[in-house]
Amino acid sequence: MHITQSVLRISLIIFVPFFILSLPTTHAETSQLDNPDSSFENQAINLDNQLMCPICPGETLRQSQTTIAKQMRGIIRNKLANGESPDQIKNYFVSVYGQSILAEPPSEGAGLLAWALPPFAIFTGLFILILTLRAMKKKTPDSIVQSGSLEINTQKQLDPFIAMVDEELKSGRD
Amino acid sequence: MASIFATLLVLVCLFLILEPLIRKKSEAESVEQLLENHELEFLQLRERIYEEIRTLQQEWLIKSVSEESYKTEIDRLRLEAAALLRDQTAGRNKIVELQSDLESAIGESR
Amino acid sequence: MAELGTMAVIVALILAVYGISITFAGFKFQNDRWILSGKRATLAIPIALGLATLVLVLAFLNNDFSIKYVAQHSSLSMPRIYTWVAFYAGNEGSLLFVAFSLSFVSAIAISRSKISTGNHFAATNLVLLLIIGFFVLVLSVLANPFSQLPSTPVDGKGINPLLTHPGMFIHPPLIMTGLIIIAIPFSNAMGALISGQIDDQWVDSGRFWGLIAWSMLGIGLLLGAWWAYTILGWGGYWAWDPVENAAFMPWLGMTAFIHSIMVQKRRGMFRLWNIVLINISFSLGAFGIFINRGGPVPSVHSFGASTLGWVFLIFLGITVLGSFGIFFYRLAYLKSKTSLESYMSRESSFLVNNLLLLSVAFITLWGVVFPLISELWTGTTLTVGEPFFNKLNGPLLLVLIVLMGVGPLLPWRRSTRKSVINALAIPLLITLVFFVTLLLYKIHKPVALISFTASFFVLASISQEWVRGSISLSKSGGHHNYLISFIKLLSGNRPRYGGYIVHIGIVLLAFGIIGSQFYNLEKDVILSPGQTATIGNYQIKFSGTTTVPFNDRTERTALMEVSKNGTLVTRINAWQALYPSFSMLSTRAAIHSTPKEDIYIMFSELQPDGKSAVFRLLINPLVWWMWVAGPFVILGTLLALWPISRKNIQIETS
Repeated sequence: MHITQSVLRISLIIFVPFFILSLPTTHAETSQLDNPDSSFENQAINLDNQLMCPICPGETLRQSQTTIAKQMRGIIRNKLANGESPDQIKNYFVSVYGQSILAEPPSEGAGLLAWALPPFAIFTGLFILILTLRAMKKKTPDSIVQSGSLEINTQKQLDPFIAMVDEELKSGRD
Repeated sequence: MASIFATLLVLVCLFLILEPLIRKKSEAESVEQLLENHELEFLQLRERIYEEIRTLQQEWLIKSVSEESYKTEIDRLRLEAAALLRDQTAGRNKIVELQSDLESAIGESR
Repeated sequence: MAELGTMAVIVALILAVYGISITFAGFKFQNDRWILSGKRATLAIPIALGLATLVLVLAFLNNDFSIKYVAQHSSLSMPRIYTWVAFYAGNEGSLLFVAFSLSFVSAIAISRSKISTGNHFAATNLVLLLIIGFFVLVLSVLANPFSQLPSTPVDGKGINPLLTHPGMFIHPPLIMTGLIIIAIPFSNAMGALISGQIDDQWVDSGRFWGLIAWSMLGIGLLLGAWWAYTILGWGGYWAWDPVENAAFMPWLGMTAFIHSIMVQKRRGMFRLWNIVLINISFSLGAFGIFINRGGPVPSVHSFGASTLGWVFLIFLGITVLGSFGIFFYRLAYLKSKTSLESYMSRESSFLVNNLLLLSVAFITLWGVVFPLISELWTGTTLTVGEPFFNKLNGPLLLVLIVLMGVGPLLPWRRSTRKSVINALAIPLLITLVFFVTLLLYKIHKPVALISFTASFFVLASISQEWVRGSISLSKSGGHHNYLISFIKLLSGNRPRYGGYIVHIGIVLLAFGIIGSQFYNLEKDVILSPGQTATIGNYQIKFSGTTTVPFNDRTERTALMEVSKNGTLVTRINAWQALYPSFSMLSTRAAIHSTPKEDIYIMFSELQPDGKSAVFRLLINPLVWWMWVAGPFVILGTLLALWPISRKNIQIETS
């Protein structure tokens, strides 16, 4: 009964900022368009960032210094200047090089799995975390009783040694 | 040149791994060793507890633990340290006893 | 000389096999002499591998091109100082380096352990020897660095020009050593599990070596970022490249571990969890080595790649199965001694930190393997690149930063709502002032605004802790010298305050990343000599190029004059070199770095007319602070590692 409540509460505390923040990040590219300082070149750079260089391993168009990347950057700028939208340009490159030219998986088909699994895993992790915390907290009463009884039984016997410990700690402090 | 180095390497390695196997173990030495190991082990454990106590005392001074949890924690640590001291003394006595037994046994056999 | 090297490797292999056998026998039959002999084997292996290393270094210095590895990675014209880099530029040499550094650090760790008898020690040594033995076996059977060419070439192929950078002297060794010496805390934990002596004995050495591995990885990653920034030439420092990720994931795992292990040290809790964490970290490290040494994913780091991928895949498999097998076998032993008292405590904040760190590691791992999965599943490869990681990991890392500000304010065991509010009040107030200041300075992008504020909050809460602590100590000591109190405070709880110093470094890193991600300006321009381009407030004038031919390369330097609003700021050189033998263009950006912003000029290419050139111009705000983070991380780690005083021990024994 309380589990759902605390799941809710803790996930609110942790993940509300997460969601608020992930909204602007995902829309960062579009919102930048409204900025007066970000213009044509910003749009082009955004596209450079979203497309891979087809021959260089693991580098985006923006990172790559190869001739083909430079040519593709040129194509992007020409197409933008001709009034094509970023999506049209991306689709053009996909039709030439296939899906793997996109720097991030599309949010459909197999690509959807790439996006869906992480949040699922995080929430599973969170759920396990909360269950663990609750289980760990429940144990409290017995352990207090246990250590308490231990103290009474051995206290007398340990008294001279405790005096020694206190003595040493005092001398150690200076 | 290369063969000198090769021989040297093999000799050093052989010495290192074989020395513990062929070393003569005198009984007195081993009791002393036992005593030393025993003391070392306890010193390490004790130093850990003392360090913890000192840390806790500082945390209490700067009020980053509550009075109540400081009390329970420090009492637990003092008890732990005292129990350790007790065990150490007991262990040391046992080893010394062992040693004197051994010496008297050797004396009798002579 | 090559024979001597091969022989030294074989001696190391024999030592490893001998050590494994005798230690196992000593463990089985409770024979301390055999266990000691096994310890000596661990101490002897670095001597043998050290000799092999020395032989290879000498072969490089003497240009002994009869050795294949030397011929492939060096040349007569290579400056001798790059011998150090060429040594690990390829597969065989880097494996020798990994094996040597692991055996060397293992020898230190093994001889540092005071007790060298008994099951716990034997099992620890056994696990270490198995790991070392694996690498030595690969070296001697599959990747001998000393194998010779049938005929000696006149000159070698030369060093990969991408590697001729100061960062390359430290970055790869740190990453390789950092990755592999996770083996030491790992074997400590495994030793404790196998021997069944699962008291908290392994915690101290596990934490010690865990911190060392963690800091090496961290500094190595930072140096890698610096290398990428100055040499790869797109103005960035981190690209979520598979090999970068391969080192980043174990670092995340170790970050979780060095936090969580403190809970076991202080409270005797999380005993099970810490074993899981070190298993995960070492497995991620093994995965990193697999990716790095010929894994199936494309990367800019492919220069060290080999066909040995399958060997390391087997190593990874054994590591995962073995470590978790032992873990489940001993599961019943791993009950915690104490229990959680409150959700609002340092303990639970560490658990949340662990969850976040592991989530980032998981997302990263998922991103690395997803292209393979999509290919197997649908037949088309989908790429997972930078935007994916930024979108998913970015928010999690931000929550981690917020937690870095809150966590330290929570006391161990429990706290009341009142005390938490009391501790948070002043930092939050200062942070609010900072927030308003940012708004006044026209920082309006919401993500940047929130990220800057969160990072600043960490600084505010650390400062409050330090100021309050120093004042309390001054009062209790009855004096008013706050500096002395501050030093006393730091030395009184080194793990904690060392951690704070590292946190400051991380915050500076965050400032650099946020500034350069959200407020950089970028422009590709073509300039003829004498022409000026404008970016932001700066005018950048191209004064022309100078060309210097060398044996192996042609160097071109573009002279750039940077002015701000008409007044000259600096003259800097953007550099590039063409290496015909590698058909590779190596570049080095011209960077004028100030705490406020970097002016970054990349000389991309010379136009066919031979005079005008293509440049990429960038203004990168706050990047300077990223490199300042490094010293903080080192300093904090050293403080956290500083051993407890031996004063009392000496008094007792004398």
